[in-house]
Amino acid sequence: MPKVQLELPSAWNAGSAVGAVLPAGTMPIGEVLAELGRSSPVLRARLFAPHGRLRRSFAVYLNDDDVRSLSGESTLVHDGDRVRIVPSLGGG
Amino acid sequence: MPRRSATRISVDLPALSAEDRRRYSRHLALPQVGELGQRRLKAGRVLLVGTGGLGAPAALYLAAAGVGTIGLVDSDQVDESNLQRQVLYSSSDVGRPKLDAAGDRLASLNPLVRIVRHDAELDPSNALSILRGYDVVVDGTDNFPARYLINDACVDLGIPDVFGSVYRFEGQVSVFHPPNGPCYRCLFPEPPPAEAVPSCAEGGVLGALPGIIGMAQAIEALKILLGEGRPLEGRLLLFDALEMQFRELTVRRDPRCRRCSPRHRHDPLVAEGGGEGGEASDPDLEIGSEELRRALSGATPPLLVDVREPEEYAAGHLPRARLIPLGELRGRAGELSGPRPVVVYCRMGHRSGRAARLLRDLGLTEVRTLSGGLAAWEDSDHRARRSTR
Repeated sequence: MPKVQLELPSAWNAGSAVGAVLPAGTMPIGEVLAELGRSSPVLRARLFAPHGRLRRSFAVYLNDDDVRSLSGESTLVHDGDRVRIVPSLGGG
Repeated sequence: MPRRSATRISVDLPALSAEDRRRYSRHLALPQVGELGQRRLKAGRVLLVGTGGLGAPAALYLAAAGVGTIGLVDSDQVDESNLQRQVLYSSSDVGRPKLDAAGDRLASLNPLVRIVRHDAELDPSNALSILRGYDVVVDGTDNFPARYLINDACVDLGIPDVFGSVYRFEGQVSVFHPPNGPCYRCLFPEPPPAEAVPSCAEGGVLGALPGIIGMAQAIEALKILLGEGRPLEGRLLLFDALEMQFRELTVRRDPRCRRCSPRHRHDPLVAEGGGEGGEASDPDLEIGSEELRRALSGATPPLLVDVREPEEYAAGHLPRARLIPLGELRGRAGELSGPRPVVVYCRMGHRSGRAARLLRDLGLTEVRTLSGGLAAWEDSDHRARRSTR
């Protein structure tokens, strides 16, 4: 069954969610992220600001493209796609 | 790929001495460097902001390569815990100002380069004056406010910002130099929430990791000075040490970027909040290690709450401490209502400070945060044991 592959930052301590797959189907990436947030309060806090706005402290890539250069949260995710969240790392 | 134009024309470049020719003979043998390239490096001025895990290897290689002027910005002292990765320093440097130790080491490595010491923490009032005059800035800082400030100042001055960052086993490298490519804010418009940002001191970092990333930054700086190769402009290099894997992602300019878009490019610099170092501590909420020890042996010992992540807790925690990760604290605050006062702690005191403020805002009156976190507790414990020997 085709699925959407998710790559979450290891720094987020998302544990089992790293490399997780979402149900097959076509949906906007905003929905993918909302689904992810519903799966864990920790992930929800990392992904969304208190009033539900998607945070802008990480980049979301669909395959090799930053979704902001596509259609933002409306960008459609299809079966077989890979969604990768790239966090900002602060350490030096 | 077309060659990039270097920053100066050859008539302005200093000549190479006989000593230069001997020392840099392996560079002179490279067609992409040669005599002209080495003269460009000799004329080059690179500023390293931060001389820690990233800045240390970058500084060593830039000095060894013969970059004529190397500026260093740091106000820290060498700590024993730095030695696991900050290869500029030796055991005998512990306690010395990093600028002094780094300056001595670099001068010993290559007396032909000039080291300029900026004993300061970069802030909006001094950033432009410190950065001005350098050809390249290498961001080797360890906090988000400084990263945004470096980016903003570099955009304002038109200086390439060679960015590097690390955490645990992962690193990132890029070059931000609009309008050739995006700036840091195009990629990450705002810092992450403070509670989501454990520092390397809290979360750990593999010692050799900043070596790889810092050296990649040094290579990018050298390429820019030489005008050779293809800089990482518009590209973000991701490194995963556990997988030993490099990946590259395209980063595009944000036409509405609130720093590098034409209407914002010269906006006044401001201190960006968020992340570690972005919040002031609240002395009224803090409890020191000694005071906590006394309280724990008193009639009403406080309830200890460890607000770190489960794997950090598993690696070691205070006796009888309850684990409630900071991200879950709001939803589980009800577990802490009761007659006992609450003391929250983490590794360094940053996350627990935020936890204490959150609990106070939620109505808990008897809450405090362990000042300096477990690190201070262990230090105090160590001192106490030494004094009783």
